[in-house]
Amino acid sequence: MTWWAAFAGGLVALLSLLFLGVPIFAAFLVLNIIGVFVFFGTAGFGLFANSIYATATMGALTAVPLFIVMGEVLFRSGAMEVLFDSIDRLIGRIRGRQYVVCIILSAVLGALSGAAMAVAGLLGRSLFPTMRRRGYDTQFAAGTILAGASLDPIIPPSVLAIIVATLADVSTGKMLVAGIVPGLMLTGMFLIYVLIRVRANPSLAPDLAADLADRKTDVSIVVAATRMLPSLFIFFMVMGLIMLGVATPTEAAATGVLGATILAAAYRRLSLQMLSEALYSAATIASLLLVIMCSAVMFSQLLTFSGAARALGEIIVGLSLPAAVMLFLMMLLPFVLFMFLDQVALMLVLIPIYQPIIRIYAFDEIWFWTLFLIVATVGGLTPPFGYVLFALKSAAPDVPLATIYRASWPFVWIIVGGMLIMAVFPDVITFLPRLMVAR
Amino acid sequence: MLSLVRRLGAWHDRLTTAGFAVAATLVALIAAAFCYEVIARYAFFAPTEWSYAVASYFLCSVIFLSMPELTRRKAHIAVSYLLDGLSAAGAEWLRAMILLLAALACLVTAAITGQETWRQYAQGISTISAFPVPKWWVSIFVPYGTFSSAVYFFRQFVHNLPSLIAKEGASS
Repeated sequence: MTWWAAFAGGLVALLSLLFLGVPIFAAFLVLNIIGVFVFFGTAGFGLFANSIYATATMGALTAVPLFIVMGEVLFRSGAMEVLFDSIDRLIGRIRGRQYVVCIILSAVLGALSGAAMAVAGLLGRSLFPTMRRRGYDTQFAAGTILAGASLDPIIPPSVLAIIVATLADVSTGKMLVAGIVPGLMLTGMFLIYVLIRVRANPSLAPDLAADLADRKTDVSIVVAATRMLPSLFIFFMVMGLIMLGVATPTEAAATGVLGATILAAAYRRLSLQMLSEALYSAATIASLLLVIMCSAVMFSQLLTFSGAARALGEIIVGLSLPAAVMLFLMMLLPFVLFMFLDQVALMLVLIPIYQPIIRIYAFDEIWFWTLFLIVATVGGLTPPFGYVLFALKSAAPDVPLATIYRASWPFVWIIVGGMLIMAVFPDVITFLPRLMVAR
Repeated sequence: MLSLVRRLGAWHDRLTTAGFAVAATLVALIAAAFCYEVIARYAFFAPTEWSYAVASYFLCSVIFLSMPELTRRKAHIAVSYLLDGLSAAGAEWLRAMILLLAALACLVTAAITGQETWRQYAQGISTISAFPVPKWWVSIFVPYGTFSSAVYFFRQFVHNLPSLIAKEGASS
């Protein structure tokens, strides 16, 4: 069978099964069973079984459930309430301060967990009603929550970064660390945008007096800052251990779980029930993602075996496009596709196709895959089918979906602008990973 | 006959619940293994040989012991635009076809991976790592998870059958 027939047939079949609503892992299983049979006959079934086994026992992926447990324990420990109160206290008397609180809180939550949907749901249930009650503009408030939540897969620890690193065969530690500066830069860009908008249109935020009327926290600034330290210590411990080469990302994740458990005990929220809920939740979320990976890795291998990945690479290279144009196209394709397709599923298809191209163009791998990770994150924000949009909608059912759609676009373009800066100045991404001590 | 099927279904559910509890426990054990590794390396200057290998074996168990529970809860990630847009009867039919296809895919995968696990057992193959164990100890969870999921998909199909037939009857 020619590579293009295998590639086109496989891709059309995969997309058809996905659009029909077949569970993603099952769609990959169907294709892989057929693909292996076509290429190798029944003798290839051992390869298929081994690809599932090899993915399920990939050491780097053990960080996925561990980072999820860490986030789950922290969410249940009362640390989030402490962080919210402290940030609320620390933000000065500025008009539109809740927008600022929302974005900074999201960035801090991103440093403690890695799931955008969870943060959008959490803020949608807690902060969003407060903002609307105080007279904040519903659409703009929704936008800041979506923007804030989109930071979470970028700022480490990020489950998505681990998955990209594993699939692209690059250092997981470097991929995690690479997200820090872009995450902070995007946080800054969101804040600047919000403050400019509120200044230009004061009706987006209520009077300061009304805004501060029901503020819960009245402790001193020093106390508020001090109360944030334990949670932030966990982040610095996890990322510090990775950067200093003291621990691998999986070991750092495990120590993060230990730190989160100690913090929960300090906040007197630690119980067997709380721990077991966190563990069940981690097993659920991690397995949902990893079952797809286990089922789909063979698909990537078939793409390589059929010669499709190499031939596509050669065709694209034969176009002799300038590197900047190539980069733009390689980001544009997932930008559009992530609007409609699952992040992990699409990564499994695109990464093996992209790998030979980025080697030929000599793109820095950590830089490229971090940009790719940010595009995947934007996919959660873009209408019509971004997951984060639906997470906010389910947390605030009375807000029309059209309002949430409109709310997301300005922040999508800000992220695109941020990516442009990162593309032109790669050091934004590569500076911190270069400082890492190898382990 | 019906009571036997119901009893088997109840046993299947109990086994799935127990497997999921083991999966959650194994997540805690993975964390404990890595914490111990860091302590052993820096406090006792005696890094373990087993922690990384054992954690990766446990990961396989976590995934495939959780898989049947996810299938039982209908929690697997799917793109549902078409299902949401179809009429009730159309969606019911499509859902039935999807359940059958998913059951078949899981069943064939269970057969393939089960055969491979059997081969590993029969030939006494061990894992290639610093802490080798018989490979089938780890890989056995793959056919378990996929077979049990196949059974759940099939049970859901059978469960939906009466309403499917009723809707078909009403529309004709």
